[in-house]
Order: sequence, then C-alpha cells, then structure tokens
Amino acid sequence: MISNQEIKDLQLKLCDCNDQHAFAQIYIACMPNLLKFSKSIIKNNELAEEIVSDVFINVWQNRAEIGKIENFKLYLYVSTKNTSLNYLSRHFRKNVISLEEMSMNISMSPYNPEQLLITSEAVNKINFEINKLPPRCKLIFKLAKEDRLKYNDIAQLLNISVNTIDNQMAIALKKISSAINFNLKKIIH
Amino acid sequence: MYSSEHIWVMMARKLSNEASPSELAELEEYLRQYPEFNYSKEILQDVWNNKSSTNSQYAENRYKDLVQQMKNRGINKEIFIPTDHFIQPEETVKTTFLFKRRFLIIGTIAASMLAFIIILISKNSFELNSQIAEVQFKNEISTKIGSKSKLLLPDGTTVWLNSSSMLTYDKNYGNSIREVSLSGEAFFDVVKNASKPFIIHTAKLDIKVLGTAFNVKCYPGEKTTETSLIRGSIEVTLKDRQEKIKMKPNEKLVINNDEISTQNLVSSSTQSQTVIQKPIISLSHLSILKLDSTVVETAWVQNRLVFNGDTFEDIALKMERWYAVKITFTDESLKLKRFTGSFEKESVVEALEALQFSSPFVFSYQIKNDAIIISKHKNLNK
Repeated sequence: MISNQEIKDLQLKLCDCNDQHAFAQIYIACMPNLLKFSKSIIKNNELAEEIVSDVFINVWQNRAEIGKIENFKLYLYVSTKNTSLNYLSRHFRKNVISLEEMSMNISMSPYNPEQLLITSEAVNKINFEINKLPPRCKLIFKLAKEDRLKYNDIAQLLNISVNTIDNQMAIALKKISSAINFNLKKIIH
Repeated sequence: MYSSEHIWVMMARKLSNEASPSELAELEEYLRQYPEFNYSKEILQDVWNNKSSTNSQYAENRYKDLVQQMKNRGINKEIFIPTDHFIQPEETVKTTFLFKRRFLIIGTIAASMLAFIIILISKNSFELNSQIAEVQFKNEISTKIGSKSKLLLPDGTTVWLNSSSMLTYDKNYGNSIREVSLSGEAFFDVVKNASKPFIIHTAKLDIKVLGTAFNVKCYPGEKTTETSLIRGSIEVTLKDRQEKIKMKPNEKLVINNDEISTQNLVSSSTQSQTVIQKPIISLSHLSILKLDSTVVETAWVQNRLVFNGDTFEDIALKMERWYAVKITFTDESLKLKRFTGSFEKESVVEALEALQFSSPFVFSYQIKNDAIIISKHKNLNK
C-alpha cells in the first residue's frame, strides 16, 4: 500500500498541476483495497466496481478542491463508504450496516522470498485463522495491516473508538499467534 | 503485573506504527520478562509484512475502463491511458503526429511572415522598424499586454513571444554560446547547432537545447512554470535542487512555483516529519484537442486562445493577457468551474458569451472599460 507521503505528493500534483498521471497512480495504488472495502458493504463485485469508479470520477471532477483535504487516503475510504451506503439505501432501503455484516476475505500470498520463518503450510494455517475471525475484528485487522490505515483513521471510518481497535487487534494477533504455536508444537513433537 | 491481553495490544500498536516511545519501552521490558513471546513477535512481524497478493495488472485494466467511462460521459475528452509506465506513446502514432505538427508549424511561419509584411506596409512601420533595431542592438524585447510578437534571433532561431512577456539576451549572442532569459510565455523553434547549445533561463528552471521546438510558460505570479516539448529533446535543470530532467517529444513538464502552499499542507499534517521543501514536479502529456488535434499548449502561436477543461481562474488569467482586460470574480466558487473552448477572432464579449452559452446559468458579467466583473448567475441560487 502506498505511503501517506507519496499519496500527499500525488494529491498535490493532481490538484495543482492537473496531472493525469498522478490520478492514474492514485487509482492503481488504492483501487484494489477500496474495492474490497466497498464489496464488504455491498456484497457484489460489479456494483462495488461501479461505486469505486464513481468515487474516482468525483475526485477527478473536483480535483481543484482536493488540495485542501488533509487526509486524502481517509477521504477516499470515507467516500467509498458513503457512496456504498447511498447505494444500499437507494436500492434496498437500508442505510445502516453493522460492522458484523461487513465481511471480507484476506489471504496472504503463500510465498514471500524475504520471509524466513513462515512456511507455506503455516501461511495456509494463518489464512485459515484470520478468515475465521469475527467480521468486525477481521475488518479492523485488514484495514490496519493491508490498507495501512492509522488507528485514528479506522476509528473515524468505522465510527468506533481507538480502544475498540486496540482490543480487536489484540484478539486478531492472539489468534494468529496461537495458530503458529500450535503449528510449532506439531513440528517439535 | 501485566495482563496478558495488554501485550497483544502493545504488539499490535508496534506493528501498526501506533506505539509511543513509552509503549515501545514497555513492550521491550515485557519481552525481557517473558522471552517465550519473542517467537510470536517475530512471526507476527513476518505475517504483518506479508502483503496479500494484489494484481496491479488488474488495477491498470480497470483504469482503462474508468477512462473509457469518463470519455463516454464526456467528463474528460483527452485523458490518456497508461501503458507500461504511463507515458510511452507508440512510435507510429508519434511520427504521424509529428508530421502534422511540422506541417502546421511551416504553415504558421508562412502565415505570420505574411502578417508581418502586411503590417509593415500598412501602418506601424516606424514602430516595427524600431523593434527590429532593438533585436539587433539591444538585448531586451518585451510585449505589452494583449499583444504578441515574433522575432528572429541572429542565428535564425525563431521566437514567438506571448503577451506581457520579456526576452533578454546578451549582445554576444551566438558568438560562443546562445543564452536567453525569459519571463512570461514563448514558443521557441531553435536552429540546430551542436557546438553552440541554446540555453533559456527562467526564474525556476534552466532549459538546455540542441535543436528543437517547444513552449515555455513562466509568468511571474502564476502557480506553475510549464515546459511543453513539440519535437527534439531538451534538458531542464531545476534551480532549487540541481536536478536534471530530460524531456521527450509530446511531454509537458509542470513545476509548482508556489512553495508556500505546499509547505502549509505538509506541515498541517499532525505527523510533522522533516518537511522537505521542494517544488512539485509533474511530467505528463501535451493536451490535444480532439476536434482538430491542436496542441493546447502552443495554440497561441497560431493566434488561437484555447481552453481545455481549464479552471475559470486560469482562463481569466489567459483572457486578461489576451484581451488586455482586468477580470475579477465576486464569488470564489466560480474560479473552480471548468470550460473548454477555442477562440480565434472573437472579441472579449463574444468569448464570454460563448462561455456562458456552453454552461448556461453559471455566471453573468459586467464590463466597464477594461474591467470585467464576473458574478454568479442569479438563477444559480435557486
């Protein structure tokens, strides 16, 4: 995931220099994660794609004003959430969604040349554990780990307290860790 | 003394880069007391850094779809599609395009020379003569607001100078080195001479060329300095940071003049890291009007005033120089409206009316002498 400084540079290029290249870079860096996020609300791939497109079209059309946005990454997530919820309320007369309903799948790549400690078998085990986490816990873990959102950003985005994030992250790490320790015991014995 | 829940909270905070120095110290202390957690910590670090596989090809393909969608909706007619690293136009396209451009340039040269002669015969012959004299003996040529000028430098290099711009050069120009300074906007068609490189100095950057045609826009007080390359190749040196950028044909380099706004935005973020103050640099394609493949950046050389989705604020700046008027907005939000249009012989009133016609009920204007006041259309408030 793109760093906040990089995204800030691209944001300025887009706003001050009308840079289409910067627009493309932001899109390519952020779209996959925004799509997953929208999908967790909408539960439909095609509709989620449409929603993310709308978010970016909106960014392009209002590019002169986006320089003023302090946290552009959070802005993209909040726009995606709002656009998704608008869609739900328009088509299903439903305008709130509980965090327990926002489910998504996470899968780590089975092989990473830089990593020394985890075998592909362990990765499968970890993936299995992560996906067994309660939806809310998994969502928070995913936004912190994959999307590299700050705790404060996650709190704002999901309307929860930082304390809740602390607790949910602790639960996720404990589960993952127990999966590996289990794995370790199996190897030793 | 530690609850076992707490260590997981600390580890999560450390991984997410959320831990304060005291929390990190606390975690270290805990790991010293319970070394068996070190293994979990290492593993979790690995898990954390293992990204779920994202397919960037997928995102790029979706970007192409997005561009198509925007075109269909008429949002952006000239937005380009990224291939490889975004700006590598195909060779064949480039050559046919260049051929067209050259043809146009030759046409322009002929047309403007004809115009030159006609003017010479008809009226301002005295003034023009004095201007030519200036070119030969003095080293400063400037254009008034609302007027443009074409000059031939001693080595045969042609310069079109846009309104309220100034070109200065040394008396020894062409003897050993070809150096000029520019403030404002100019289009250069530089005669090739490998032994005497042609160098343009502006407030923000220097441009070194061998033989080429390109446009430079560096008006004082404007947000950006723009360099647009039509053909050949040039090397741009940024004064603030001794960095050199080689440009290829059909590329446009925009750098931000206004570092204060950049700094404000960076320092306003709560995580104020070391604030590096450097200009924003952007390398992109030239904008080409679909209608007749006019290159927007250099249309002024052909005596055309072209806007391509520009903000009203930028358009007003261009119109002020073009028509020698002063434009003020009564409403800030109008400055952000965007228009596309191409004007040739239209008067300032005709141009404003055309803009009004293209987006009805957006603005109204009043003209008093050379001052134009643009305000929100009454119906817009409804």
